[in-house]
Amino acid sequence: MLENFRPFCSRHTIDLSIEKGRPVILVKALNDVGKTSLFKAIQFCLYGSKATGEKAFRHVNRTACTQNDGRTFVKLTFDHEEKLYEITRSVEFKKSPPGSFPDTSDEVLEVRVDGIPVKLESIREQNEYIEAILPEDASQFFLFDGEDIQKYTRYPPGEHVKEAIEMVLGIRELLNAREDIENISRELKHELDDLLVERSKHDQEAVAVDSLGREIADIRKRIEELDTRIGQARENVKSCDETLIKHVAIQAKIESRKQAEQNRDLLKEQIKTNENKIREFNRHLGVILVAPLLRELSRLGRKSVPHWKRAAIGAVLQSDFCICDRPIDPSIRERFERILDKDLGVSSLQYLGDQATELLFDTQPDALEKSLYEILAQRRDLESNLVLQEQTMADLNKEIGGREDLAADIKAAADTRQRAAADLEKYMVEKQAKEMDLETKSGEYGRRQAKLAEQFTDKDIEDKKAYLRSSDACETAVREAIDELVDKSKQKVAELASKVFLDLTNAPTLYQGIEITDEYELKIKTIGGTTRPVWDQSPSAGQSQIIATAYIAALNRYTAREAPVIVDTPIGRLDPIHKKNLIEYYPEIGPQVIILYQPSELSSEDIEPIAKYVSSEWLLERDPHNPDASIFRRIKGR
Amino acid sequence: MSQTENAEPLDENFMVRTAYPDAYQELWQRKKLFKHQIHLFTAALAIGILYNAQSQKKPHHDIVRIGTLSEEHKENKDVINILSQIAYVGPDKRSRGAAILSYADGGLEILWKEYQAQGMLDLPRIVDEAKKKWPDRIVELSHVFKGS
Repeated sequence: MLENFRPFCSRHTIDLSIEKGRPVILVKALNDVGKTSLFKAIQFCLYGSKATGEKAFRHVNRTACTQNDGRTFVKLTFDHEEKLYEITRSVEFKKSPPGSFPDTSDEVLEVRVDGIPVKLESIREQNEYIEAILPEDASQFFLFDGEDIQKYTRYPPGEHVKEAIEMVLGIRELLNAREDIENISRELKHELDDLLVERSKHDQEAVAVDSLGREIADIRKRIEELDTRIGQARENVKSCDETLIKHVAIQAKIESRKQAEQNRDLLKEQIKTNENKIREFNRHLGVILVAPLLRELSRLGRKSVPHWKRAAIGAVLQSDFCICDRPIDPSIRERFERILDKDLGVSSLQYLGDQATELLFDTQPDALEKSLYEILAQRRDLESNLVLQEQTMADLNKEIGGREDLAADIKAAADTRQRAAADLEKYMVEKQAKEMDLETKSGEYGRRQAKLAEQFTDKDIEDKKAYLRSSDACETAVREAIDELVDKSKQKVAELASKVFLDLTNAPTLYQGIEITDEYELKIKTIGGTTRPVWDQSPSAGQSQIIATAYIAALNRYTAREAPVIVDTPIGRLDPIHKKNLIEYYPEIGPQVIILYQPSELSSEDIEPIAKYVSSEWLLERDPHNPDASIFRRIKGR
Repeated sequence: MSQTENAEPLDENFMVRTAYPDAYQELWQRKKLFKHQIHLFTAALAIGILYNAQSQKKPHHDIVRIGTLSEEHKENKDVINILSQIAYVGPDKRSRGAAILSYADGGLEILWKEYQAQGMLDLPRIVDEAKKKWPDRIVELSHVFKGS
């Protein structure tokens, strides 16, 4: 349920429940109607406005806040661990003039479980409560943008992503438990140490063991410092990598712009040459324009009496006798005179016809016309190419800004990266040495402390020794459990991710599958036997989306969390094969799958193969009574 | 006087003129659509005859004397000669010359109107429309062909 949230003015309810065997809910909307707002509403409700990347006042409906003071809220109702949860997050807003953002109160979270309010007083308590249902870091694998998930394939995963994956797989809880037990164990050792020192104040060995304990504590402290430094150095390396990737991408665009500029200049030259050609050619425009007239004149000229015949008859009629010396018959004379009379009227036509015929023969207007069209077609091509080049340049300029050359920046970032990587290496080496030292000294400390402890048998010491043994046993058990769980989970996730990837990819014959390293880095195994990190292969946007979807699908299958999968922009710019494969896979990606799409991504034909898995279909559209607001309309389902 | 006199070519002293020097400057000099003004004159004359368009304006601006045109312009000269015999049927050379100039400026008015409206001359369309128009115009000109 939403009220006054972004484009949703007043109260709206959308029923996203599913029927058995029909896990899919479809929500269709044009761009800018509220599809992504619905996505953000869920993030807002669970984790607050900080999770949406926007301040709370931006989530207040713009129409509602111009009318009165009011409240914006999102309420999610769902089953979780066989209980009915109602989570509501709200902000109060003050009336504000059109075009400005309203003042808003702090966010308020209310939780009810089976109708009973849960008392959560501090923000920390609230956060912890929600985190226990679905940790915010882990939510990235449940609520995601189909195009945005490509990030999991673009860079080696950072600590943040690694922790999120461990959280989803339930490993994080065990890791936390191990850390807690280690702390308890350490604390117990200190306490035992203190007792031993107290009991044998003048015993040199006790003092030495105590000193060793302090030395070990210092080493631990140094290791913690090194961890912090390693974390910072990793962040630096990652930040440099990101800067480098960004710079290199922009540099490539700068090169593309240079190429586009060259193309544009060449096209301009070609257009100039073409203009000259047209100008030169237009000398023939007159003859092309009058060609039909010339043809008619030529035809009529041929039909009139030829000049030689006219001349011969004229010569005969100048005398009373024919050339054979016989008198000319009056009827013949009359006939000849008729021919000449008629011909007198068309003599100029004869002349015109001759001229037209000669001109047609000399100029061939049909061929000229064809040439004219060819030159003009060439001109159109050149001009449309020029428009394209200029458009390309404008697009590139928008992305590049005023930057001319980033070679120096790339070098600086590469140098910084090199320094950060050297620091990282240095800290790692030192940490490794310290850890070895710690292991050795801890072993020695344990042995000497145990030996020393044997000399004393009072109850306090015996108790501490017993606790210590228990915590050591627990730590060992948890460590083994983690190792086993990590190995098994990774293997299962990799196997399923490979299967899904091979089902979804448009080139299944090229790949063997996906591998997951200890650092949760994705590697692609090709048929040829090579295994390379995905980010190192620079996959296309479509291929990246498919790999990331396969990874997320596998994580979801083996997750220790229970949550619906909500996908915004499910298809993006996938090719038809990827698109078809992915649509057919979505019903399997989670127990409840909500797909937010826009009509150009999925047509009714595209949806047809999964129609039987769809519980309900909703249309998100502009409110006909308020063009600034959106409403839900159920178009299919109960 | 015989009809063949009407079929004689234009006098070599005939001066090609226009009432629209600015239009010639724009299309020939500024836009560089034609290499020589005589090319524009020929096309305009063809359009004028085709659409039976005679300008009412008095041509005052000299373009070129027909006799000074080189062999390079024979094609245009021939077209002008033929059209001159369509433009005026009769022995009076002065009237024939006036008719040519009037038709040429009439055609130019049509081209200029199109150029001002479109910012260009759409040559394929002009040629195509000419092809469609000629059959009717040829019927109208049948008296010329009969030498009346």
